[in-house]
Amino acid sequence: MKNKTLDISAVDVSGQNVVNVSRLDREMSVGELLDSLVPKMRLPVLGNGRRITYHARHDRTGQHLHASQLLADTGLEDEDRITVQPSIQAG
Amino acid sequence: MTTRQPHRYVMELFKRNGAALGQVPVVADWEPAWETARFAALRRFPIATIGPGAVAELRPVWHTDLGAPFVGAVEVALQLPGVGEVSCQVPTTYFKSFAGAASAPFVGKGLLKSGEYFNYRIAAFANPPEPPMNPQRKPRFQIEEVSEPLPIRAASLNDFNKRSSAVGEQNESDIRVFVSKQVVAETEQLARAAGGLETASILVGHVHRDPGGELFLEVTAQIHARYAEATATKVSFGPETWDAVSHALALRGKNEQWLGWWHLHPSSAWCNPKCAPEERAKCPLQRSFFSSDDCDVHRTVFPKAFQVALLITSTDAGLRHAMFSWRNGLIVQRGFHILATNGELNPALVPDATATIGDDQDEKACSR
Ligand SMILES: [Zn+2]
Repeated sequence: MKNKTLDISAVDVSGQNVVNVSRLDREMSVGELLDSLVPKMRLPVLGNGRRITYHARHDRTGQHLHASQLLADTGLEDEDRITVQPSIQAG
Repeated sequence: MTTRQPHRYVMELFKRNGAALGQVPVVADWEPAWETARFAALRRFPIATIGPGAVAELRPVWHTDLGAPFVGAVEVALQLPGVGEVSCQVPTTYFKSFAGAASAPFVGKGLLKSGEYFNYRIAAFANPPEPPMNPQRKPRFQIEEVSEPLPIRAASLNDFNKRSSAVGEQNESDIRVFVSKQVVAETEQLARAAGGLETASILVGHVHRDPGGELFLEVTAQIHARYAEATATKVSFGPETWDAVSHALALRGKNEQWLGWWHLHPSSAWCNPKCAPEERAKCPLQRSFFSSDDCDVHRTVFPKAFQVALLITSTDAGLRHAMFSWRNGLIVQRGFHILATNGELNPALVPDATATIGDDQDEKACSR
């Protein structure tokens, strides 16, 4: 039987900012994880007064995880890594 | 790295005639300030990482004329156990990006007109002690920063200087940035082929340390953001863009780092075609500017103090180049060097004159 929690790591798109995330509740959604994780990774929440959207990519499978997915349903396993990717525009 | 903020900061707003509007608690993004100190330590000491034992603290530097509680700058002091201490200062212009949000309540109350200029000053007060953690509120996960060393290669700065030519105004406090001639040629090719749309690439390369201790950058390649969506005035980056860049970088297999990005402002296409050439030449759209959206991309994707942004502006008179990077927690225009690859030096580029930063020229200037 799988643990109720997960231990993974998260990295920004440049690969220069890495954090270990442990005792993750598998019943948490990807969106909830990102909401909590983004400020802790020192990434900005707002840009130009608007909320910046972030996505999670499961590095082992290359899959982009949907915000509404529960972590338990993502295929994430202990020691996996996610990349936190912003959707953002330059003008 | 542990961060400490023994003070809270308040912005006092004034009308241009000196009439006080009121105070607003400052909600600042302190990350560029912390990062300034981290990079200052990497430059000062022969280290490649800031260990978990490091402690950084924000300290108000009292205003020389007004005295406490008014702030003339904010000092970021960083202690690295067993290594040493660095200190740097961010100016009060650091709070400029917050001033717009701070003024909103006064605009709402009719005390300030929308778009009306105002002044601000910053005051600091000791923070009350932190309330104890509520034991009922169990965190849903634990997080621990990983101190990844910055890959730094040994190289001679003198050797790079001999093979390069300077573009734009150089500030001795900035680290030197060498962009290979090949990269410049590729960016210009992409700029000319963009057909009036914006376009962008990621700049990759190496961080070097000279035997004298000085750090400098070498941009060895640009990876075109081919899945970015481009219009005449925007270029949008999403997961597909980042995936493609990561794959391309891995395929190159050279352990290159993300050093920054470049993007194109197709200014000729922005300007009103009915305007006379002499009017177009004076149009603010034909000058370099780093928009507030550009600042957001830089803060979100390129927050490291060494990361740079190259802007190419396609004007009626040809392509203009301007580079931007972090200095004391702020995004500023800066010079760079073009690195020859086969012995000869480069024809000088036409750098742009002073660019505006954080203002949206494209949205407030001329008809298009
Ligand atoms: Zn731009």
